[in-house]
Amino acid sequence: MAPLLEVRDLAVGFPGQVVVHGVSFHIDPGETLALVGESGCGKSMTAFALMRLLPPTARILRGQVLFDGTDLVAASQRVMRDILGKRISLIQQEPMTSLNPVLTVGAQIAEVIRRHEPVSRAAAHRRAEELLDLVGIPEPGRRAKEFPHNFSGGMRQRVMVAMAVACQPRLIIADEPTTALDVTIQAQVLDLLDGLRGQLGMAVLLITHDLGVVAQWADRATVMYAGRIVEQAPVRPFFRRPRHPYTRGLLDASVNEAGEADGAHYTTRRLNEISGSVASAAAEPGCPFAPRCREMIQACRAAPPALEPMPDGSEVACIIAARTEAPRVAAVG
Amino acid sequence: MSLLSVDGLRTRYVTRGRAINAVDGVSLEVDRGETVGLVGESGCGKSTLGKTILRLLDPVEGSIRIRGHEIADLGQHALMPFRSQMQMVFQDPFGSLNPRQTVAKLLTTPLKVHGRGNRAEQHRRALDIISRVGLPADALDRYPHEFSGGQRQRIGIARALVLEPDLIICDEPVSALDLSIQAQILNLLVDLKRDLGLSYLFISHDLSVVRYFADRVLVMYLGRIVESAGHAALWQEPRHPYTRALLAAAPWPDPERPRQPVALRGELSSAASGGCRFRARCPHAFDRCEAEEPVLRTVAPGHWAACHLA
Repeated sequence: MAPLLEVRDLAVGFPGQVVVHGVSFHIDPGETLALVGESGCGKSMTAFALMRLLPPTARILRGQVLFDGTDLVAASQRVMRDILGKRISLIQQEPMTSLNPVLTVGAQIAEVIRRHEPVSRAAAHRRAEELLDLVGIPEPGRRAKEFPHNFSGGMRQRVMVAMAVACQPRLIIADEPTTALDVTIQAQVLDLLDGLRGQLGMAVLLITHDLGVVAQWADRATVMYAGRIVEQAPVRPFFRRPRHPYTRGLLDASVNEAGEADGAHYTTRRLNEISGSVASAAAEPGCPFAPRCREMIQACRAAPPALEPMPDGSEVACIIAARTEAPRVAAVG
Repeated sequence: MSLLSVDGLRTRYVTRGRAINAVDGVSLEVDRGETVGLVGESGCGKSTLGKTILRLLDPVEGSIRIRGHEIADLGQHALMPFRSQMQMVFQDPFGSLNPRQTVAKLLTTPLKVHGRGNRAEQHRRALDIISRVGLPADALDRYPHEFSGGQRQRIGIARALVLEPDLIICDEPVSALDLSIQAQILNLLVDLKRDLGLSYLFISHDLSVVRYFADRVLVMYLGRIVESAGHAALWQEPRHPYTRALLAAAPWPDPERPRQPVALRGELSSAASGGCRFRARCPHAFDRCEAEEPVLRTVAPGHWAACHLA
């Protein structure tokens, strides 16, 4: 199956600073790929580069983004305008600031439909009401005439989902869609998005820092650290057998350990810390994680390691992990 | 006698002539050396409760006792000696430190205000406390913007500790931090508790952090405590349907653990008058829930819940 989206060696920078150092990944039709990492790792910058929605001073330095046969990096603004909102749409973290406060939600959804499809104003409004119904907003006819401030946080995020799926896109990019929401509402919104993905046959690029969200709602995970992909795997091997020392460190630093039925308690287990901070990666010529890594050897500091395939379909950018498992890769063929 | 004892506390906000009791009759105790977790969703009143206990907000009703001394109605001057016994660590390590003061100034100001020692002694105390929170001595001469988020939270903790309080109220102390830094700060709080014999009231919306960090957990919903239990009992046998929904909704980092459906409708809104505050969202609500507000009652030794069905 040909991938829906293929990113090849994408690099993004601000003047004098590279923030994404050549990342490559793909998204298959209908799957949810989680792009995971801590603040400043480049995950949002990567996603916004795909849509060519970078801040004014940021530039795509090199690479290709192939979407349904079109290279989005080389596409004209006109082509991008037709793709965004119709074939690729975005759900942002903060539904309050991404909705227009002086337009009714019905009008905002209808506007998206009218931009991309030749339908009458009345037909677009009817579609908007159907979409509000689809995302589980009660009394859609009445609610469509209300303004964003009349909605609660969770309901506003449902409106954003309605707007994102309005033109039946092939891909939804969801940037921390539930980080501003309470945990009970988070589950409702992610279940909704997941249900619509199946129903409408969309793929989802889910950007998150929350490993619990990855485990429960994603098919595959791609971990970024300091602007590079360090590990990429389907979720089961990812959580069962994380390879990269950074990924392992993150899972061990979590207060929920997968193996413990009821989680850890401070009286019985000390949390594993990743010492230092990500700032140490800036001056590092080799592996960006080397300054914080417990397993670091001299060779780590020579050059950033490439992503290597592992026998179970994972990929990892760590020379130690690659050396340990390389013989088996060779044996398998 | 408990270190902190709160009884029937109410805090009211008045906006455009409408009064809302953000804290609506809360009673709780924190014993010496104990960590009490307070968990709830945004708008449940947990931060207001923390600020009222510290008397940063004034209660309209109820009692706050520190080792038996009533402080709910004390004036600012009479409060001074009690202020040094209770301190707060805030969520936002960027907004809670004055950007124009060096770390040394941030740490010695409380000592000056409370008249502790001379300049040299104050400086020694600042030096001692900054190394205790894991920062180098030269941090004292720098400004908050020179530090990362995790380091700033260490400074916030140092400032809370400088007066040698017995109780620290932590309001979402790790929510603004990345996961790898979260673990560093939680470990630090655990070490400080052990070394200094501290007690914590740990306020968080994050169930998994509270699960790890608290000895006893209070679950708050719309201004009231709806469940109170030891940490193990709360996770193993939650009695209130709201607690059960919170537990079911928290995503677990294990794809092989099936997710429980969240049987919860709607969102937190203002309380309907009379009856159980949770009934509009509750999957088990029946007639009695509308007629009668459930009170916290013992459901097992050391375990209380405010639900007719618990």
